[in-house]
Amino acid sequence: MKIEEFSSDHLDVLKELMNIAMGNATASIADLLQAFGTMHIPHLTITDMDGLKSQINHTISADEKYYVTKQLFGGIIGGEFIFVMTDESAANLGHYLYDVSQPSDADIMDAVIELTNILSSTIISRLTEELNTKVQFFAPSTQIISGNHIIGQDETLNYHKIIIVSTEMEFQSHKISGYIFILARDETITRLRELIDQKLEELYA
Amino acid sequence: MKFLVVDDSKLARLSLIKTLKEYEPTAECIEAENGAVAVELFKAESPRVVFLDLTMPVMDGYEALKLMMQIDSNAQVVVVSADIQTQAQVQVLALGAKLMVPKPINSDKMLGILQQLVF
Amino acid sequence: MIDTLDHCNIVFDSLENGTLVVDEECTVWSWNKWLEINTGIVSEEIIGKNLKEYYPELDYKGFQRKIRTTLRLATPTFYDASLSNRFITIPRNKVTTSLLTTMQLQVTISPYIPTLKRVMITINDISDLHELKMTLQHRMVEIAKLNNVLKQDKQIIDANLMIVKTDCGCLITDTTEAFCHFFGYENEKLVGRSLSSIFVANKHETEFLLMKDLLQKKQKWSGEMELHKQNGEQVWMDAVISPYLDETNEIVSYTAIYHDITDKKRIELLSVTDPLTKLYNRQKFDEVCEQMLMRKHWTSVNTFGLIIVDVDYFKKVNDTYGHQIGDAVLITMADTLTKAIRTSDILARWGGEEFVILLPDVDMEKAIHAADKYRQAIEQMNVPKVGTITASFGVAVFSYGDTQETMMHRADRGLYRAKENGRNRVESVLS
Repeated sequence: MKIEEFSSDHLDVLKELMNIAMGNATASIADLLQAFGTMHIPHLTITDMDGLKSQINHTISADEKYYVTKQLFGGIIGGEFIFVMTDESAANLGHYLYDVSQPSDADIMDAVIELTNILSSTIISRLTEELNTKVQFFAPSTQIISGNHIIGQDETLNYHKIIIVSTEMEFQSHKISGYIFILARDETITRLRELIDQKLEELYA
Repeated sequence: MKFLVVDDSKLARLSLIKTLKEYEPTAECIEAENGAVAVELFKAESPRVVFLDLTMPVMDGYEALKLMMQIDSNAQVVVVSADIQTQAQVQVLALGAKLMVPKPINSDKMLGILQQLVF
Repeated sequence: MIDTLDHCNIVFDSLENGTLVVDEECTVWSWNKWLEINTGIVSEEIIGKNLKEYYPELDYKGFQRKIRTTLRLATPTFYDASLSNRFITIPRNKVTTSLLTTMQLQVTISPYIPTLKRVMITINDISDLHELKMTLQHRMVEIAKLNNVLKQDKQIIDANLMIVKTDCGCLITDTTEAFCHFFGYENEKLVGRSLSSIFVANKHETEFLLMKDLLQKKQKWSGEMELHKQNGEQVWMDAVISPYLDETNEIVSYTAIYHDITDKKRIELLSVTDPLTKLYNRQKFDEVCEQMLMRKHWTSVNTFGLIIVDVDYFKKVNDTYGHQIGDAVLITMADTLTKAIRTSDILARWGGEEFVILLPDVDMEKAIHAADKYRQAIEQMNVPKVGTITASFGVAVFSYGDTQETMMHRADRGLYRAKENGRNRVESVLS
C-alpha cells in the first residue's frame, strides 16, 4: 500500500479525530490551569524532512529560544510528540503551577514536562482509542533551544515520508500557549491508513 | 423534518446524519461546512434543528450561533463539539443553544437529543 | 488478594530499580529491596507511614498533583530529571568523578490500583547518563568558545594573508579576501579555475619545474616568483606551497601562501644592477660566478664557460662623439647581448667597455661557437651617428681546480690575443 494513497477522506477523518483528541486535552489542561482554552483547527500534512523543516520554520522563529519537549510513543502506531513553548509561556506556566512569583528554571522545566505529559497522553490516547489501538509512552525530555534546532542538523533521513499533525494550545487569560506537532513516518502512516480505512468502512456501511 | 448539519469535516457530518437517520429515516438534511454558509442556509431553509460544530474556518460556531439566535430566537441549536470544557458549555448555552453534546456523536447521544427536542 | 500482593513484592524486590507504591495522600504501601539498600530505610519501617515523614523537603503540592493526574488520565506521568528537581535524595558512591554526589533519578508515576488511588513510582538511576550530558554540555561551551576564537582568527587571516587553496589537480577551491583584493579578482570568479591560468607569465621555468617536482614528491616548496596582477602589473611574491595529504598519503589539496616582496625585490635589484645598462653589476657577477664554481657536477664535456667582451676602439668613440654617444653604444651593446644569449646565461657589465658572460652546460667548442654568434650580432648593430661597432672576445672554460681569478685570467689572455690579432675576433686560452 502506498502512502500517497492517503485520500482526502483519510485526512478528514484524522483531522476530526485530532479535533476530538485536542478537545479532551484542552479540557484536561483547563482543569489543571483552572482556565478556559481556545480551540484551534488542527492541520495535517504528509511531506518529507524538507517539508517538515519548512513547516516548523513557518510556525516557529528560528532565532528565538523555546522550551521544546519531545516524547516518543510506540505501539501499532508510533511516533514523536513535540510541544514547543516560548520562554514567556513557560515562565507563566511555572509561575502558575508552582504558585511562586519567580519560579526557578527547574520548576519551569518540570511544569513544562508535566503539561506536555498531560497533552501528549490525552491527545495520543484519545486518538488511538478512536482508532481501536493502544500506545506506550516514553519519558519526555525538555530542552531550551532556538527554533532552528528543533530538528537535528545532521538529519539525513530525507527520503522518509512524514505525517505532521499540528495544532496550537492557547490559554489567553494565563498567557500560556504552545505549538503541538505529532510526527510519524513510513510504517505508522501505512498502519494509520489501515485503521482509518476500518473507520471509513463503518461510516459508509 | 428538516435538519441543518454544520461541521467542517465532511465525515463528521456524514456520521451524524447516519446516526440521525437511525431514528428519523425521512429526515431532510442540509449540510454546511462553516458558520457563514450555515447562517445563510438557516435563513433560507428554516430547519427544525441545527447541529452546530464550534471550531470551523471562516466563521466559528459561536459567531454562527449568535447570528442564528438573532434571526430566530426560538432556533433549536444543538452544539456538537470536541470542546468539552465546562466554560465552553456555559458559554454556548448562554448564547441560546438548547444542548451541548461532546463529539463524537453516537446513537445514545442522538436519541437523547431527539427526545428532548423533537419527539 | 494477599497472594497477589506477595507476588508483586517478590517482583518489585527483583527489580534493578527503585519501586514504591503510594496513595494520593503519600502513604507508602510498598518499598522494594533496591530502595531499602540505597536509602537505608527498611520496608517494615516505612510501609503504612507517610513519605512526608522521611522526605519532608519534597514539593508535595506538585507531587500530589502528578499522582492525581496519573490516576485521572490513567497514563504514566514523568518527573523532570534535572539536577535541582530531585525526587528523593539518594547518595552516590562514585569516587573517580565528583560531578554528581547524589543520584540523578528518572521518576515515573504509573497507575497501580486506581480504585484505591494508589500509584506505582519507579525510580531509575540515570546518573551516568546525566554525568555524560553535563560533560557534553561543558565541552560544547568550550567548543563554542574555541570556534569563536577560530572565527576571529579566520577573519584576520582572510583579510590579511594571501592564501589560495586548490584541489589535487591545482584547480582553485578557495582564496582569501586579501589574495583577491591584491591580485584584483573576485573569489567567485577564481574558484574552479586552474592556478596556472591566472599566473600565466612564469618566466622562471627551471624554478617552476623544481617546484612541480617537489610537490609531486609530496614535499613543500618555497621560493620567490614573479607574478602578474589582473591589471598586468608585475609583482614579486615569496611563496610557500604545501601539499595536504590524507591518511593514505595521497595528495588531497594544495595550499599556497603568498607574501608580497616587490619592494624588497626592487631594492635588491637596484643593488645588483648596473645603472647605465641595467645589466647585473660586477658585484652580482662575482656572486653568481662563485655559485657556479661551487657546483660539483661539472665534467670535461659538460662544464661552464666564461666570456669577456671588450668594445673595439671605444676610446675613439668617446673622443670623437662624446660620452653620451659612448653611453649609447654601451646600452645598445647590452640590449644586443641580452637578446643573443640563452635564458640560462648570465650577462653582466664588468666595468668600462667590458662585459662578461657565464655560460652553464657547455664545453669549449660550444662556448667559442656562442661567442662567435654574439660577435656577429654586435657586428650587425647600427648605432646612431657611430654606425657599426665591433667587439673582441676572450673565452675560457672551467676545469678542475679553477677559481674565478684563474678563469678570468685565461679569458683576459684570450681577449688580449683577439685584440692583437686584429680585433672583432674570438680567441680562447685552454690553460
